[in-house]
Amino acid sequence: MNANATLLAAAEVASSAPSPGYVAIDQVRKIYNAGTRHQVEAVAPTSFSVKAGEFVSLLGPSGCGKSTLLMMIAGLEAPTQGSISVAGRAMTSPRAETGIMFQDPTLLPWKSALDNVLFPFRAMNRPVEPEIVERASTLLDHVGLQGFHGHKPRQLSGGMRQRVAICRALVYEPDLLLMDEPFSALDAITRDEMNLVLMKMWEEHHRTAVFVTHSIREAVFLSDRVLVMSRRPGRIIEDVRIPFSRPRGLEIGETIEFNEICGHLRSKIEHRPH
Amino acid sequence: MTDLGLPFQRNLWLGIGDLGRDAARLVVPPVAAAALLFGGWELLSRNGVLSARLLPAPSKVFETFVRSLGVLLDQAQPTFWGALAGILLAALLGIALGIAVSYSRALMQAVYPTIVFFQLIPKVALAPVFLLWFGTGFDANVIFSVFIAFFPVVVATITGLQAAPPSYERLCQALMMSRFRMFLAVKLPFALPHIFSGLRIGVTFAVIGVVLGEFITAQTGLGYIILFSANNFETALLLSAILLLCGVGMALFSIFLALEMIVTRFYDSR
Ligand SMILES: Nc1ncnc2c1ncn2[C@@H]1O[C@H](COP(=O)(O)OP(=O)(O)O)[C@@H](O)[C@H]1O
Ligand SMILES: [Mg+2]
Repeated sequence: MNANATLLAAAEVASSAPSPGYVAIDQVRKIYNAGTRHQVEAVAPTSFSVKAGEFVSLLGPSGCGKSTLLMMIAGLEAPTQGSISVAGRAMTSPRAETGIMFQDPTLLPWKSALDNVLFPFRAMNRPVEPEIVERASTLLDHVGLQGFHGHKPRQLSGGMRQRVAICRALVYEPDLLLMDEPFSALDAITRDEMNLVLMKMWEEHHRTAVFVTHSIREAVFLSDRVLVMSRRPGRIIEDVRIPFSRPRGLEIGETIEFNEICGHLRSKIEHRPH
Repeated sequence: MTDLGLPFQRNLWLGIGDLGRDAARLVVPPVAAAALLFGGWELLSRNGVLSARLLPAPSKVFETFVRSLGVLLDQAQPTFWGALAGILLAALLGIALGIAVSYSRALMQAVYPTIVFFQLIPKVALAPVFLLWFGTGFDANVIFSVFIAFFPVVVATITGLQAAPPSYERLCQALMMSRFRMFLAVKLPFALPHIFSGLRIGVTFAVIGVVLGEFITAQTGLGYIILFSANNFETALLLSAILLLCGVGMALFSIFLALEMIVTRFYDSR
């Protein structure tokens, strides 16, 4: 038993030392406008890691620093202290292998759904070969947008626009998918649909994913792990493994276990006292 | 005839009736109002209630317009080309400065207050100063026209370049686009509707600028004709010149409207 524990410890050291996870956050802290009157500590020193292929949600109250943390993983904000590495490389600027989604679908209104999906290739100045167009079309079909490839964003519903945005984030085959409350602006029914679509796409493509949300049920439904953040300055105060096997259906939301996990997470979230 | 219960037919007729009624509602009131105005004017002029020197009858104005069309068209040329040159240069300079200011915080802080300040002062007051500096030629009128038409274009360009929501900037950065590519692919298309509405204001300002210049330099152009005929109580000629000036303004406006329609067909940022 003692030998076993030593072995486990050794394995832990071995797995965490050379490759400390696909995404490794090490004592990261973010202070906006440091040294000025408007100084805001958004993220308190925080460490965690995400394994390759894992789906992790960051859950926390509004304004706790979730977006800030995600933007630092994307290389769009620099940490004030600490370091972030993705796929073994230190993050200092954005990388081409990260797919990103925001609450706003950020589609170009004058481009068709298909052209919007192809936008990353044009943006990165990569050639749009026929097989790329084929791939984009297939993605659109898989999120249920058959027959809408030529539609402009204004002709699509909010949910359909986010489906296009999912395809755009996946089309260049990123190894890491970062999502900042992508479904927060949608109604509850559309949101459930989108969770299913995202789940299906993720199960097909199996990228490492970091998903920011303030919906407990959404986090539990989608994730392998849910990290709860404290109120600002945000730090991870709870790390919960979600045991449901995949593929998952919406019906797991009715199980006692699901609701127990949700209850546990809810108890950890620090609500602002009234 | 009895109703045979053919809803299709009935709806068709109702539809045409609706269409006719809509058109009538749109066309009849303004036409009636105009007819009343011009009819009354004509009547009052003929009865001698309105002095022919101050306000000649519409028929007299029309007659003068046709008779002097040659001269008027000659004089419309410098006004038209002056205003066109004015708005084109104002567009070039205004859009360029708007872009420069949007991309340089230092320039924004240095220049924007001045732009706002100049927007507030009545630029008409500066026309004599321009005359002093640039003489009385065609160029002087164009320069003044540029000066007036420039401000709405700069302000619209600066506003327009802030039209793309910040999340688009994030997306472009995540896709590692250069600032230049981001400008061309996202910022500029989002700015276009604003820039075009600035240009629409600019066009009317450019015409005003040229006519003001012609008032002051008093050499050529419709502005000069207006000034000249007012001084000589040639009111019919004056009104004819104004009529043609409206035509010049509308022609320039239509050019930019057409351009806007073509461009927004490709870059519809609604
Ligand atoms: N660019 C910024 N400059 C200054 N303060 C910021 C900036 N972005 C976010 N903040 C502040 O940091 C805190 C965390 O913001 P954010 O990461 O957006 O929270 P969340 O996504 O969890 O709602 C908030 O108090 C917010 O006002
Ligand atoms: Mg946020």
